Amino acid sequence: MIRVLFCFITYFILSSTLYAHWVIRFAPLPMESSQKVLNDYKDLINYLENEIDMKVEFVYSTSYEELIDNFLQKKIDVTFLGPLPYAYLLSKDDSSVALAQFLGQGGSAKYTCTLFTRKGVDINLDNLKDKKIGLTQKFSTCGYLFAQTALLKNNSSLSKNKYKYTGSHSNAILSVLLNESEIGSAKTSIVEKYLHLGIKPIVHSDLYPSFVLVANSKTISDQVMQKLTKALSKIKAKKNITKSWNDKFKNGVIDVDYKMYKDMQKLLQEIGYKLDR
Amino acid sequence: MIDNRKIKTSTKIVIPIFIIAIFMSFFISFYMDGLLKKHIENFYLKSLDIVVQKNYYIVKSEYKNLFYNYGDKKDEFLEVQEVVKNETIQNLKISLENSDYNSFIIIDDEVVPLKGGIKEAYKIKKIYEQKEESLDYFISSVNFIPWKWKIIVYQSKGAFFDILNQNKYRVASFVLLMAVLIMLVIVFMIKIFMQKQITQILKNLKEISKGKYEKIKILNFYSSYELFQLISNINRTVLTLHRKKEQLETAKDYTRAILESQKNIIIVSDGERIYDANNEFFKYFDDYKNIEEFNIQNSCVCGYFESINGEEYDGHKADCIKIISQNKKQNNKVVVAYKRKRNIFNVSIKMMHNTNKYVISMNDITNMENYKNELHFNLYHNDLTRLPNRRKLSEDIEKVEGLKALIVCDLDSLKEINDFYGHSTGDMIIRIVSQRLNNFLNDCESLEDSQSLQILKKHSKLYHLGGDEFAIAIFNMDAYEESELKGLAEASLQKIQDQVLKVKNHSLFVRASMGVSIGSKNLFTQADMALKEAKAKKKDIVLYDKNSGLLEEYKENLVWIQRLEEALSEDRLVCVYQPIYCNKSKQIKKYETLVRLKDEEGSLIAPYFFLEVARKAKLYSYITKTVIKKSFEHFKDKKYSFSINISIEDIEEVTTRSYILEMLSQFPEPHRVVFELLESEQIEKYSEINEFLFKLKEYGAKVAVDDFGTGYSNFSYLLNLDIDILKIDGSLIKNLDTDANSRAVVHTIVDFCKHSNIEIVAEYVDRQEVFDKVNKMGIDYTQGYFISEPKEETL
Repeated sequence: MIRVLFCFITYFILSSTLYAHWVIRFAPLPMESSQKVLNDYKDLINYLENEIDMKVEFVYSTSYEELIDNFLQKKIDVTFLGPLPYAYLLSKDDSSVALAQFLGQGGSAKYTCTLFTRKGVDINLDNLKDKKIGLTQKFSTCGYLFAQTALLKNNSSLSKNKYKYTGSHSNAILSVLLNESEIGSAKTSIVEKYLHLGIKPIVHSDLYPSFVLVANSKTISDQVMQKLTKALSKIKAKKNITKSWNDKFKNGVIDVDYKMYKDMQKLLQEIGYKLDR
Repeated sequence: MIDNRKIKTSTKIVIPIFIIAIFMSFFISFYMDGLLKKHIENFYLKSLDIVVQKNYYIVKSEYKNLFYNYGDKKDEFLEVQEVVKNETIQNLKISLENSDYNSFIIIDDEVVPLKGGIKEAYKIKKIYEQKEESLDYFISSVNFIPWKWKIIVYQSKGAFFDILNQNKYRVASFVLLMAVLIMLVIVFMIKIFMQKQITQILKNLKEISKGKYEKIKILNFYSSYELFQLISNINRTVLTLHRKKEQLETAKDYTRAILESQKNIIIVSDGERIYDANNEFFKYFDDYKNIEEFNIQNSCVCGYFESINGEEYDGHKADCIKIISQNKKQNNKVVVAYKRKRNIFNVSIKMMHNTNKYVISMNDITNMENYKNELHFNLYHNDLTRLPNRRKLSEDIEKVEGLKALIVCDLDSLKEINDFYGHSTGDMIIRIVSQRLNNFLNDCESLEDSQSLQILKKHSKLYHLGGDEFAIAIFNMDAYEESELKGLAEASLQKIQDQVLKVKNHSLFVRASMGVSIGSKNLFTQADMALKEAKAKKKDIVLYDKNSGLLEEYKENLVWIQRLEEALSEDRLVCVYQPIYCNKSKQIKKYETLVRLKDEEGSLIAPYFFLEVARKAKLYSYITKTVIKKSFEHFKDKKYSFSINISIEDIEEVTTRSYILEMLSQFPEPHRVVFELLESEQIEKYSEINEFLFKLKEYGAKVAVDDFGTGYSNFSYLLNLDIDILKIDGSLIKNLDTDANSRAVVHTIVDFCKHSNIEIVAEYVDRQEVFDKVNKMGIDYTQGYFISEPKEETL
């Protein structure tokens, strides 16, 4: 009996260890639906599975807090993060390794955010108070970070107004259109798509760095890490690889500009950003 | 009577309740109508709002789908949007199909009906745009901003008013019915729980007013709280009334008992007749058997009042009750005369509450008043002669202002008469003298007297000051000559002395001395001083002379007595010690103790200033005792002999004598004590003195004679007294070096002492020359400032 039990335990330990070598746990952006994730990420994931000869498994998170917690608790091997969550993760744990920075629309490695309102509504940001503001998510760069930075420059702050998180960039825009919010904050490239519906930009942000693919050095072996780096370098060299991929990834990758993320880390400290906000 | 009251009470209560109920029902029905209208209106508006919200969510839902699918694709969005709008309108129409509500959309000022007529829609649009409140429709709307749609939902108020009217009558009827029912219940309750009880209360009150407490029925306790309280209170009141009646009877008995137990006469009167009186009243007014009898003949007891507080009372002119009751500070002393009785009463009057009657209390104080008068007489009169006494004279002198004169007379040798013939004889003489003086002074029209003497006698008054002293005071005279006054004194003296007094078969001559003073102040003192002078100078009459300085001396003595008494009480009597130098051994062997008075500033005062005064004030022996005590204490632990001065008076004084012997017996070395006998006018009792000196010597003490050689101290002293030391008087010593006579006298004294084995001390040695002479003459001891002045401390 004891022998049987020993065999079972040994089997489970070995199987889990082996499984770890065969599977990469990938965490997509949390604010998107699983169907959309599959559509958006399928090309990248297929490519990586082929290149590193390992299975990639999705680990869904409902929010950035959950995603970062999972990463810190070694439940995630690779993730795709915006600049703010990555800057935040850097300040918490130095074991994360940014493998590559994906280029945004138009092949740019940087992007901006926009504060906007509805056409026909006059908004003056100076000493702004008691206004309803629709934000994206806590860890969205164009959410709390940008809105708070913009308002502080104009002798106001989010705490002097009534702000809420709508869940996504498009939801922030819709809440302004339906008069549920008087001001909204979203990525400039997304805002521009909805200008024809009566959206009026108020102010744009400075440049923020684009999204990065981040690996967890505590869970991934050096060998796998090298394989991943090699695969991404291949994309950098041959732009045709990504041409048919989803908009998020089709513009290819560049080497990571760490300085920009470090600057963002400083900015977070300046505005007193906290995870539990 | 009770029934009529019951009907009236019912009517009075029921009609107002009925009227109030009608009014209340109207007000309540109006109020409830208002509430109902508001409630139904709210219900309608809420339902309308739900429909509007539902429409809004339909539109919003369509728009969200459009937004998520085509929002970021401009061209496709515009193309699809129109289709979606049309579909949305269709969906809205479907949702309103089976409802009671009409609706339309305003798109760019155009009306798109969803349900209901177009005309009605435009009418509603107009009302909506003018923001008026419609009387015929409930209207609710919502704006859909992305499409700029205004969705209006409305409903006619017809059904609402129908419901309202139907309910209005129901409410009014219900409220009225309820009001009537409540009123009936109230009336019923009043009838059952109050009317019956109130009727019984009225019955009870009627019986109470008649004083028939036994017919009062105790009420039942089953009504309301207030009525229960009322019933309880009435029941308690009835029981209290029963108790009060019994207490009143008891109090009445007590009052009568108290009245009858009083020794005072107690009367209840209104000033016109008497209503009640105790037995004491009838004991005094014993002709009357009862009050009625008294009232027939008298209106009030005041008729018998003779005087009130010393003023004559006439009952016809004044109201006695008023006079007495107004005088609240002092007792009212009323003299009452009835038949042959004449009594003094202390009368007090107290008005009774809520009546015009008074309680008059009359306390018979006749005996007390008589006793008081007797005491007063004794206080101011001499027992023996019945003449005014010294106290009376002092008060009279104080009372009378202006010029006055006083003759003080003292009978000579009355002490001897008393001793020889007995006190009764002495008293007889005093009585006879007083009679003679009294008769003389009262006989103001004697032909023997001059006119001025007659006038003086008219203004004079005789006093017996006590013992053998009389005084004649003359008051209220405008002016008189000293000679006239002296004339009165001489005449009075003559009356005393002229005739031989026959007392108990003895013929006695009485002589007297008189002191006379005139003025306005210190009359008594001055006359007394003049009398003393007369006695001292053995004159009959001495007129006080202001310029004699007697008064100042007198005053000075008084000041010294006071200073001395203060010093003694504060222990400021101190001893100083002057050394006595032994000429043979050339050492200080002895000290003389001298007394000093320390004044308030600490200066020492010599006995010259106070000893005579002390003698007069009888403080002399006290001073001697103090000196003995202090000197004994001082020399207790020293090796020196010391002397203390004592006078013959001290030896004659029993207590001082005893004190000296007592102190000597306690002193450890009595042989060191020397008693110096001070010079004295005359020593009469040598045997007594020697006896005492012998006792001193038995203890080992020595005796010295002070100030020998002058005054009264002479060789007879030395022969009669057994002395050890002789101190030669300073007057013989101080000029010893220059005065041959002094030297001769001192030689004689020294020779005498050497032969008699008496030690010699030379006093007042103040310089070397005298000291040398003293030594040369063989005197044993030297004392004086040459050796040392007296000091508080010794070696």
